[in-house]
Amino acid sequence: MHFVKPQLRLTPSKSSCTCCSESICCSESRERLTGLSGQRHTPSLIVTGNPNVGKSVIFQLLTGRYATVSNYPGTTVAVTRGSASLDGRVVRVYDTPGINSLFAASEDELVARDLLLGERTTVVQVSDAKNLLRALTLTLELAEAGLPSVLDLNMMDEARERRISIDTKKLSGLLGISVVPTIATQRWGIERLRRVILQAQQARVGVCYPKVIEDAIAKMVEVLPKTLGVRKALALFWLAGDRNIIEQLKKQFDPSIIEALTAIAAQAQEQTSGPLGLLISQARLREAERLVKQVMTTAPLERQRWFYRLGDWAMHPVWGVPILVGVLVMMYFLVGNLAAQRGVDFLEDVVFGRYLTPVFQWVVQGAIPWGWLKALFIGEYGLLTMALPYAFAIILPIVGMFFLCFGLLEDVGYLPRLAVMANRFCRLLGLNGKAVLPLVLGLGCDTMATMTARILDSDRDRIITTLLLALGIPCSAQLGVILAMLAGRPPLALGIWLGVLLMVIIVVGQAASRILPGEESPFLYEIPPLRTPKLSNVLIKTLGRIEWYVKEAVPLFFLGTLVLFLLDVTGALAVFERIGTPLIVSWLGLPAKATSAFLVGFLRRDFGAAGLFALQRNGMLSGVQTVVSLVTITLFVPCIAQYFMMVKERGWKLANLMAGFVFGMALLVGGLLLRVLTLLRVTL
Amino acid sequence: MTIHREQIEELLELCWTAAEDGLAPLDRHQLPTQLLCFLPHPIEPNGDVQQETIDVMVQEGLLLSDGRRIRLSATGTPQAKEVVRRHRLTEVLLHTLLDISEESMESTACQVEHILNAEVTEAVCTFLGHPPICPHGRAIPQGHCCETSRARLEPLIVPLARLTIGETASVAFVHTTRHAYLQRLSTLGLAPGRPIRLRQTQPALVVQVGETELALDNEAGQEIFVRRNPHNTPA
Repeated sequence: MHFVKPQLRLTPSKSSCTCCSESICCSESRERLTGLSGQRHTPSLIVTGNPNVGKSVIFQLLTGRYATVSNYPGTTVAVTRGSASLDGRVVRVYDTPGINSLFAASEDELVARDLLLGERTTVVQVSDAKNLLRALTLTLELAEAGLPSVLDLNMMDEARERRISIDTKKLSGLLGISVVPTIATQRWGIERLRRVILQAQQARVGVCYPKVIEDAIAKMVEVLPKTLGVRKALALFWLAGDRNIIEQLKKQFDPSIIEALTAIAAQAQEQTSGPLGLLISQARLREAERLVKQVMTTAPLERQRWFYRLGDWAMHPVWGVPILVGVLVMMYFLVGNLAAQRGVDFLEDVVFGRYLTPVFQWVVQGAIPWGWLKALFIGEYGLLTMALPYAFAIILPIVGMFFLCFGLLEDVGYLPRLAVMANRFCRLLGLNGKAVLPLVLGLGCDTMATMTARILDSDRDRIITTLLLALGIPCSAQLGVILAMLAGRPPLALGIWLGVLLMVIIVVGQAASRILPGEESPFLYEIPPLRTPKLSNVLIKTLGRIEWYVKEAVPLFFLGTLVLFLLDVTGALAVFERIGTPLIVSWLGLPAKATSAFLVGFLRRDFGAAGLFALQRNGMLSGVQTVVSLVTITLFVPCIAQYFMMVKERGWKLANLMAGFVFGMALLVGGLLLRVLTLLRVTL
Repeated sequence: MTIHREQIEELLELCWTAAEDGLAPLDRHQLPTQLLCFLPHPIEPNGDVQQETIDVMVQEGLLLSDGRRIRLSATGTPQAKEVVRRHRLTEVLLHTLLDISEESMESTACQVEHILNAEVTEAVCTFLGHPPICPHGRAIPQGHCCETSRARLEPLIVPLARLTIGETASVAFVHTTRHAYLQRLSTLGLAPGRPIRLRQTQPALVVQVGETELALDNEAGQEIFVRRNPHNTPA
């Protein structure tokens, strides 16, 4: 395999290490970036490209491994690894988040950039054929970074539909690298791509920068150590003001070199009015435009497809609203009604209640002589009688259906349009429209959503989103139980619950956005075209997520139940209940039995909600009590898995601070609500 | 002592402005100096230099003199008109497009008015869409370019938000203090010279740049300036 000689080998930045540690979703395929740099001799291949061009599908076709594929930018938030056999050789393959430039803006772009610059590697640049210009600006950057690459012009079908034709031979000649047209979803062109990967070369193109930049580059290349192969790329990063690269260089090089570089950059900046980074990216854009003009022709489109127009309607200020409502109603019907009620009823009452539980009881009764061990399996907090049905009969159908709906919306490309529709609302929360994606995902699983907060553009936005997820966004499991409990009450109960929740997240979001340093980050989001969903894609994606749920979340259910069991046997639960009871009984006005629901809520939010559900079924909660308890449990502390994710993403200090705040806030709001409702003599 | 061309132009401008205010003819010993430019060569009110300049201008036939009274001659008027036009166009350029403070707008315009040639003036005027008034509310004398395109009153370069939905234009420049944002726009293909189409403005701004569709916040609509396609401009 062909590799360029000296490579830029910078130690990966701190943030990328925290991003890619193992236990994120599909954990086994994640790899610490620090682990990568050491393995020099294994040939490797990186699949990269602009967001939403089909990198993950290409990765999947090359390796046979499943990576989450979806039609909205930002799905691959960490690096997925697999291996492919090319020409009889096993090659390691990495799938990266989408990038528009090696000059990284968001954390996920940083992950991809560090991988590209940190490894001796060959690059398969996947691109959207109908958006050649942007692909080529990235190709130019990859060439500058000295990476041997192959350009894959994917989505040729969509390009053809839009009457775009590209002279791939000519383009290949101009760039000096192989250019392969493909349609990944139909597997068209993949074999050809496989064949040329091994002949990857460094592109023979150069960008003509303005004189100020060229002069500065020349001076910087002189200063940088001769052993570095990509001095020009480094110089460009420095001039563009890439803080991350500058920090890394500062750690590696002599202060004298750093001083010289700083002086050169400052001198160049003095000679121009605009930021240097802008001059650089505009020069690349010009060069890419020049290339595009030579190889691409577009015939006028006579009529737009109705599907294309549907994409516009989905973000229309007027038509977008009924579409949004339609989507929500569909989701409510599928998740809240079909899954949370019929599905749960069937699984819980029939499958578990009639068949499995009696069997477990019979087996355990017969096989285990000791009473306490029996209780561990089939007692009140038994693993088989509590954890198992909760995990598989209550939570799984709800989460599974939610994942299916979310996957479908993702695949169609509705989610970015949702971001447009939600921009106003997110502004109320001190965020921008992009944050709606983690927030909506949080309605599925807050743990996953906390991780997805990475797609946001600033730390400030990530912190606010993480806090709001921990505070006021119920996950699908919890939501299912909550909606089931509210279903038996007048609509006012639902209204109060929703109203209080919205009020709390708006107030907290606003306050946080004022307290946290930094400005509101500008809303800038790419909207992919609406596509007909591919059912197999949606199903694979849903199964992948369910697998993740079973692997990551279900063990925590068992752990949580076990902890409860131990607390119960040792009598600690009674002690906690006694300590917590005054708070629950006098401040929240709930029956003493609810205490255990809240205690379990520490372990999983939905466990808590399910505990309340049981109380309500037994007729132990009045209408007002139901609403107060639901508001409190919704706002209550994040579940254990989410808490650990918060620690991983934001650090111990911040995670603890947030968890403490959320705990206090939940009790405060719950107690106040009770008093207001009592004062107004509301009956529900 | 030599008389600077600039001083002559300053006086021409003064006479024009005074005439607008109904002050013509002027008393050469009591000029309304509040109407004078201050930079770069402040004219000493009623100083010797000024009297000399007036003499030269009378000799050249730019001014008509009647005792102490002076006013623009038939030769002087078109020249004064040109100077005033350059001054006020510069003010519009600096103030409206570049958002420069009134003080520096004034002083810069006073300098620039002397160096713009006819061709550049026409280009600036067209660029600004033949604006009828300056930021102070005074009328900008029309030039040749304005007469040929009297039908079009809208400026050629406008903030993105001023386009009608569906209109195509090309990006002229982006005026923002958010540098990182600017760079990201550019990597997404939104840069000077690129074609842009406004798709919608509510609930967020959506534009199409090439084959890329981008959602932006409403502030961006005021920060991105586009050059309208002249054939496309609605009447």
